[in-house]
Amino acid sequence: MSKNIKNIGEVIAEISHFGNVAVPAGIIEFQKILVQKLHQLILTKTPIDKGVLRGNWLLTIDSVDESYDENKKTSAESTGAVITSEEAADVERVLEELTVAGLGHTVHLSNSTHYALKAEIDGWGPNTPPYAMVALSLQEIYTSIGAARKEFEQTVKSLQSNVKVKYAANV
Amino acid sequence: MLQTYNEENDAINGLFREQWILDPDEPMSGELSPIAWEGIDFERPKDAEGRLLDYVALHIVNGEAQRIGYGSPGSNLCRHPGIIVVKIFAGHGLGTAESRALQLGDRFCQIFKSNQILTGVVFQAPYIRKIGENPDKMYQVNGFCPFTRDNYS
Repeated sequence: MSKNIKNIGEVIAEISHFGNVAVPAGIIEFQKILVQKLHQLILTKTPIDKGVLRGNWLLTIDSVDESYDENKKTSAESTGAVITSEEAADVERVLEELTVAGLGHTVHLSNSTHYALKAEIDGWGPNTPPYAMVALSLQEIYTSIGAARKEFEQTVKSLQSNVKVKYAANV
Repeated sequence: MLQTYNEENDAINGLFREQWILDPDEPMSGELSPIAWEGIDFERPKDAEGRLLDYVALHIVNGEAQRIGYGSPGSNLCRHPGIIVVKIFAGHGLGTAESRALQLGDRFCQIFKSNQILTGVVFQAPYIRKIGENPDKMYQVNGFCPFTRDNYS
C-alpha cells in the first residue's frame, strides 16, 4: 500500500495547521469541558441551607475573586439540585472568555464564604462527614478521565482491527 | 472484588477496626481509641472525672460512578470513587492533645497507605487536615483517603 503525495507543500501546510490550530483548539475544548463539569459537580455537592454558600462560588480567569456577598444566594432549593439557569449562564460567560483568551490561562473557582472550608473538610457536627465538595469532585473527574481514556483505547483497538481486515481483503 | 456499596462499607470498616489497635504487630493489643461508626449510637468516652477522652469517627463519602469498560453482561467494568474520612478527637491524656491527635492521624495514614489494595479497592495517598480545638476543648484533625472501587456488571 502506498500514498501518492502530489504536493508536499500541502502536506506540510496540513501538519502545520494541526500543530498550530487543531492541537491548541483541542486543549482549550478539553479545558472548557473540565471547567463545566467541575463547576457542576462542586456546586451540586454544596450544602444548601439559605443558599449563600452555593451562591458564592465564583468563576474567574487568571485571578482569584476573594469577594463574598451574604445576599448572593443560589435559586436551587436543596443540596444536589441541578445547576440553575443563572449558574449555567455564569459558566457560559467564562467559557466564552476562555475561547477568546486562548491557550495558557487558568480558570479559578473560588468560594470566600467564611464557612466554606469547614463544609469542605469537616461538615457541621462531630459525627457527620464533611461535604468534600472539591475533593470528591476531583476524584470523580479523575475517574471520568480514566473512563474516557479507556474508551479511546478501545476505539483505537477496534479501528486497528478494522484496518487489518481491510488489508486482508485487499491482499 | 467488592460488588456492592454494602460490601465496600463492611470491608473498609473491617480493615480499620482490625488495624486501629495499640500495636499493629499484636492483634490482641486493644483498640487505639473507641470508634464511632456511621449510623450507630455512640457515647463519647470519659474518664472517672468526666473528662473527654480520645475517640474517632469513621465515614465513607461516595461519589458518582463511571463505566470504565464495555462488554458483554457481567464484564462491564464500573469505577466507584469515594473518600474515607476519619475525624480524630484528642481529649484528656498524656502529652498535648495536638500531638496525640497527630499521632493518631499518622496511624490512620499508615492503615490506608497508598499501596494497599483491598479486593478491588485502591487507596490513594492518605493525608490529614488540622481542624484545631473544638468547643469541647478537644483537638481535632481529620484524616482523608481517596479511593476507587471497581466492580463488574
